[in-house]
Amino acid sequence: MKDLKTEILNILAEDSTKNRDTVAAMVGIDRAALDQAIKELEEDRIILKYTAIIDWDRINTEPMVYARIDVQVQPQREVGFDDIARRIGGFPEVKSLMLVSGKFDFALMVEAPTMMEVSNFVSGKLSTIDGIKSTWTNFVLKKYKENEVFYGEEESDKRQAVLL
Amino acid sequence: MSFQPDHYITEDIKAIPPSGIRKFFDLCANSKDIISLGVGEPDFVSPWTIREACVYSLEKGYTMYTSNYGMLELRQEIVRYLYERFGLSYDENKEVIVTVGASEAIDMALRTLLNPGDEVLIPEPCYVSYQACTLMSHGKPVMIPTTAAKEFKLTPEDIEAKITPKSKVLMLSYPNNPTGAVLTRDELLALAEVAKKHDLIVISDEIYSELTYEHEPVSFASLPGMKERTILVSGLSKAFAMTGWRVGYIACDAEFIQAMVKIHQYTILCAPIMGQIAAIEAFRNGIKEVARMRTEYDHRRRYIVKKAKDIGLDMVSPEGAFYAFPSIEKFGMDCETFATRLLQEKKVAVVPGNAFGKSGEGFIRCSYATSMKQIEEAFHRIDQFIND
Repeated sequence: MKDLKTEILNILAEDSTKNRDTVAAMVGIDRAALDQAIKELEEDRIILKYTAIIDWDRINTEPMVYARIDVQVQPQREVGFDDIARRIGGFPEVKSLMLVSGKFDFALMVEAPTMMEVSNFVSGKLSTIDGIKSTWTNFVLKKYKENEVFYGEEESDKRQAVLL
Repeated sequence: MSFQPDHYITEDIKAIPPSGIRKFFDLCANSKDIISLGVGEPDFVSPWTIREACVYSLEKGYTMYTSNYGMLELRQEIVRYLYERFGLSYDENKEVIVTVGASEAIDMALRTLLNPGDEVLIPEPCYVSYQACTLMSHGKPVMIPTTAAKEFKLTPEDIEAKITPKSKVLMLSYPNNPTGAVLTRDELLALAEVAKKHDLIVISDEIYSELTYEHEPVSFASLPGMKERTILVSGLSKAFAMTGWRVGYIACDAEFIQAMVKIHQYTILCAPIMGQIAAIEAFRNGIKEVARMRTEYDHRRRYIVKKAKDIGLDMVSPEGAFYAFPSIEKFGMDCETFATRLLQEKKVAVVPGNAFGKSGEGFIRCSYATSMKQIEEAFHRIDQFIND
């Protein structure tokens, strides 16, 4: 069997709201041991945050604008990409930030209320950071799937109610 | 005299008892908003890579018959899988046949082996087709009850007690539907001795072999001297969540295959090519999905074991398949009454144990091939039902 903490993490990654007594039973330990394991995972920042995947477009009257921005930078002596990553990632508009291989160095997911604000962020803040050579902005037209979940309706159980 | 269909139906078919719990099934089918722990198939949809491969093959025009034995590529994959997973070695050209699910495989094996009156030793409770298929092959089913006291495990003594000069076939089905019992290598070795001693052919239905949770699965055919006397029956339905594709297989001695292919070619011709192509993809790229599903079943299983204990439901801890088989004896109802009342009063469907033979009386089968959320709610309701 897999390492206990990995098993707990897999269950929480799927549904972090799952009843803790249930989770304990699922991995075969008692509740106190589970709480202790989760506490350690939180303290070690293995678990960073509990959140929800939300289909904002269905609830917001003014839907947010999302963009993936590819960024080419000049890595700096001694700190490589890390220093500039921290500068870029500090902006609240930046929802996620990754160093990637290929033509560009960073891939960012950016979120703002309007296209204008995304543009202002890119031209006014992002591209003026020292070391940034170029940016490439791709506005998101439609989201289909995020964190393993498809947007839209849940699939129904098509099986017969009883089967031997 | 009016036309009476009954006059034309063979005595053999009439002798097969209809499912005693048809009424209960109809009741389930007509109930709305129930939580079902009654389903004997995975709640997962076949992995996308498998479905996608099939769609692509249809676009490419793969809509024809295949070899009676099944596509060579698929037989090669089966052979490779059996070798890697169970250390078995078969020849894809002579010792494997692709069937329409394990169900066809069981029927074909019995029809190939049984002369009228030959006895088939069938441990019970068990899947419902063994007895019926034996009767349809003019054989005589000899049921061997297994008990909760012995964790529903078949022992050499159980077999010995039922041996007659007519005993010919031993049916094994571990991991077991409905009990979830699994036999260890040592326990299987003990049965192998009996098979040798009484010269029995073993049909080993290993359809649930990917779903064991405490020990690595052991194939009966992998035991010393057992390959030659074992008809290994398996399929992709449970492991890969591919029930509707109807792809199973038999691996065994070439002479048995030669005999069986006669039945297969004149009745079935071949398993549908769509399912076969999907099965090839499953063996090539679906194995990691099997592991993922197994982990999920295991989580549910452990939850049920804990929950059953908490609410006072006596149960042998299941070690395989996706079934728990708790006893309901202490509640003073037979299993059908229990299941019917649970359905009517709490809207939870389970299968009365007697659906799997007389020795299943006093038990219910709870399938955990359903989401954790549903299982939690179902056990909450079962708790209310037995304790309020």
